[in-house]
Amino acid sequence: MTDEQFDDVAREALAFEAGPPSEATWNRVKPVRWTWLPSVPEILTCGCSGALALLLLGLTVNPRQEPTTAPNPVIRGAMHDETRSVLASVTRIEGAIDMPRRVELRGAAVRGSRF
Amino acid sequence: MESIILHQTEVKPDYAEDRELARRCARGDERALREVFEAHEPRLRKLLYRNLGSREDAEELAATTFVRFWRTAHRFRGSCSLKAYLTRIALNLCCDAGRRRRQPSAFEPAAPVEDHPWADLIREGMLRLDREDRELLSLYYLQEWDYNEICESLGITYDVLRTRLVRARKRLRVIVEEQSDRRAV
Repeated sequence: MTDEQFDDVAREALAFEAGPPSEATWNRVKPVRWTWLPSVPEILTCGCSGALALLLLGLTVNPRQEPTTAPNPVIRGAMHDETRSVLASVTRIEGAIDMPRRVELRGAAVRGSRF
Repeated sequence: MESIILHQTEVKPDYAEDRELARRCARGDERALREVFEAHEPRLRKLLYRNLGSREDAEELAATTFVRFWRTAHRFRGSCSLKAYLTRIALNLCCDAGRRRRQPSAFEPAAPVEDHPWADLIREGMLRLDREDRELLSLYYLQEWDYNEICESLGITYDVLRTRLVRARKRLRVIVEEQSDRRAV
């Protein structure tokens, strides 16, 4: 038998009709996705728009205030108008705090150092 | 040189259509995957069957080939055809399955047809070849891949392909002739 004849026999021996792909095989291939779950792009879009909306709301309702540099008059009085280097802190509060609507600071214990 | 008939084309084709299909798959287009599946599944199943010897395993690995393609479609750059790319995935899976199983199973009995006396021996002999020869000869004898696609699928040049084909065919002939002599005795 020549090589060509052998090839012909081999081709015939190995040939077979595979038939069309089955639906069962496709069902194994088909990408499964839980439809109620949002996709990654959907999550990103929602997250970004939510963050933007909150940012705009925050800027509208509570616009940024410049920090005041005016010294507290009570502290200034206690330090005889020398408040350039004052370090003040509330160290202890005793008892229940019943906050009035408007708090007026009448006095403060100030510990400071002068340079 | 011993006779190996391979049809060589002059110009390397452009795989724009394949690239587009892969791009759609990478974007999650299920219809694109269905197109790829319907176009390539039967021939991959045939190839896997000729390499594994079991229809069930062939069907399972063919399905796995498309699942793997779906996950890695973004890596397809179009340097080869989609057919060659899928064939490479299928053969890699086949190799992994072969390693796990060690021995390929015998062919399941086919429908009775009038065969050449050597036909059965050739089918059995294919499974006794080593993996590389079996892959090569099944691609060559199934006649659904041209020389260029075989080269791309196996990552070899045309000259290497010719040499390896001659060698693989010779090994198959030796196996078949030995079996034939044994039967005759």
